[in-house]
Amino acid sequence: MTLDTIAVSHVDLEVPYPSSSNGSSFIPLPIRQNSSSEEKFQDFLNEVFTGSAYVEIRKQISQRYPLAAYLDQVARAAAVIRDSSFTCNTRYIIDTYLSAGTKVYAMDYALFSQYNASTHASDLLPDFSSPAANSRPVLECIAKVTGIKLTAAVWYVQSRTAPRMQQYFTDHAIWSDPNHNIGWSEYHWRAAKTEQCEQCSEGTGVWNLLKPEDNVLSVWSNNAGADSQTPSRVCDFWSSIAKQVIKLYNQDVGDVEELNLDQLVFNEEL
Amino acid sequence: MPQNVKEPLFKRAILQSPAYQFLSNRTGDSNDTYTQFAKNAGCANADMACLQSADTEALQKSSQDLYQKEACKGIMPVGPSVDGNLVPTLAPNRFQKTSGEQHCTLLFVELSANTRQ
Repeated sequence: MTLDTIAVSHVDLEVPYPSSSNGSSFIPLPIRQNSSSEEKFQDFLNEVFTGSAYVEIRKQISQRYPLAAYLDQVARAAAVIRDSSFTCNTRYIIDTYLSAGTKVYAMDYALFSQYNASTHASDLLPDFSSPAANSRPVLECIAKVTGIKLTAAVWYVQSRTAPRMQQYFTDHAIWSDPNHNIGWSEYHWRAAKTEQCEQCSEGTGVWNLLKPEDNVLSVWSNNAGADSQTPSRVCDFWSSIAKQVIKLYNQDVGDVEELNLDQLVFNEEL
Repeated sequence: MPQNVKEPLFKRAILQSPAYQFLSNRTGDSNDTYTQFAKNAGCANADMACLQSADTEALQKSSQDLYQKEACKGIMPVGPSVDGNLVPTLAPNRFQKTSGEQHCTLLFVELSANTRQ
């Protein structure tokens, strides 16, 4: 463990629902086209966890994410994909570094969540925004807004979000402290911790989450509460699935010979 | 863990939306996806030398074709897949290693805006 500090974030809407033009390609098309089809949902699980060896794993996932808890199969798949492939990854990394005594800074990027616009990669806009670049076309694409709303959004990103976000990140990179150049009266990005929380049941959640969002006070005014998307009761489930998958994988393939990149043999059937 | 792992050259890291799906290539699907990508890019034998000299536009088109076809079925058609050696385990398992052997293993995955369409 050799890092001094690490910053880990997810966006508020990694997998959008309803399947919309706001980027829904993480949800398999057959499910989006047949939103009530259990068969299409099971096809998807079988695509990721393929074969009879994984039948129990598919069953566990189906039971853990019962259709009754969701509006339809699209929402159900969105929850599975969000938890398994996006948000819980941040929890594992945060837990690991915290347990090693490394300072962690965690973020839930929620800017323009009212437009369902805090989607995967939307946080790259303030990361790399500059006065010389025109954010308008990108924001129009992400937020699907026009006119005065779009003008306001562009101003909000370029004048309020990007300068501070870039300050946090560059100070973190240079000083291991995102608040190094932040004035004492300004908003500080507090180091993350894991503790019990209301939504966590018996488990824990990630606290001190910086949550940039578009509210009347400021972009940077909210790191109250625990991360509702990464409680241990959710991420422990997927951790268990990952362990089961790799156990079955190792049983199936046995010992793998030392990989020699110069002698990779590719499929010659083509 | 591969034996040639070295200490990282950096002391700080920023991870934004680290996304990995459960890819373990148990059935050979990952290899099929790779060979399909290479074939669409004009490399019928799927050899690396051909791909390295392939036209950029052909690679982009092949990538788009792959996403439009394969992304229909799963989450993402490509990504780091467990092979038992170079990638020894799934990301959730690796991320949770807390022993002294933990190294800073970062995988950079490019996901262009176009692939989200």
